[in-house]
Amino acid sequence: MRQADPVMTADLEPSDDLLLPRLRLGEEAAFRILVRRYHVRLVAIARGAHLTREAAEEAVQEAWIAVMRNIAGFEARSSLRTWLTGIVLNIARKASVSARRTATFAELTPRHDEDEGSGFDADAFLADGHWREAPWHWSEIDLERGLAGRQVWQAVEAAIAALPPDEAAVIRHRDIEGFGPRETEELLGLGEARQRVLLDRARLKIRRVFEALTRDAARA
Amino acid sequence: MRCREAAEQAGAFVDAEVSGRVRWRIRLHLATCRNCRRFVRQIALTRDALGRLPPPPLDAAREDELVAALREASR
Repeated sequence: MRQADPVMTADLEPSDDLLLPRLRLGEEAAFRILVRRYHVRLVAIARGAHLTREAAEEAVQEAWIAVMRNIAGFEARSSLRTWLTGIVLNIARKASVSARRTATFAELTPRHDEDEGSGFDADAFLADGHWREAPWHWSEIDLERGLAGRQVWQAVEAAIAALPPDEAAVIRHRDIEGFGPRETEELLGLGEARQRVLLDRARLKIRRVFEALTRDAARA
Repeated sequence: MRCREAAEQAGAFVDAEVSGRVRWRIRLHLATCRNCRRFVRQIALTRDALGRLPPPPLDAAREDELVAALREASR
């Protein structure tokens, strides 16, 4: 049997706003839609708070229960998604703190941001401010080809996991989840100027990953 | 404006977080610089591609587990 087109079903599924009254009534089908929509992404967000995959799964499970318990009182001042993400982050941070109490010194040593600059290679530009080397040309079509038929989410997750934690958190919230600067500040406690620096550095690195993907696709 | 400055502002530019004056100066630079046009476009593509990534589907067994955990908790 042919699988339903995921894009089509996503379009046909009710929006969060439409789900809200059904969730308030405790409707299981509505809960399942929400869980399918957000669980995997929320686990990725929870892992950003220095949790193992297992601990992140547990934290998000706890968050789902908290969400459903409190949904009657949810006043929709922020979007359901922002609220949900905030609850996940709270629980994940608490779990992360208690995990640290039993952690070894090596586990506690934070990964520091080694490059505090703009993220460009020191020799990316000539003394006169021009590019030393022209950026390699790739376009939207190259990128789509590069991203097609791969485990793209996993590839990007791996690339993000390799970023310094603050950069990873900011690019996840701003670009993957599509939160604006203000929501991101609310969720992560990082001001807009700091977000800008971290986001630019992170995008430079992910751009390199995408460039490598398009290069591979061009060779294939 | 030089390439270095344009490239460093590329992120703020594509997110429309630069002042009108800076926006105008970057536009002017881009009009004459193919390298920077390329770079700015790629930063925008990177951002947009990240926003369109479909996460892998939730494992059906895990979904049932979450529903069961919720039922258990609300008893």
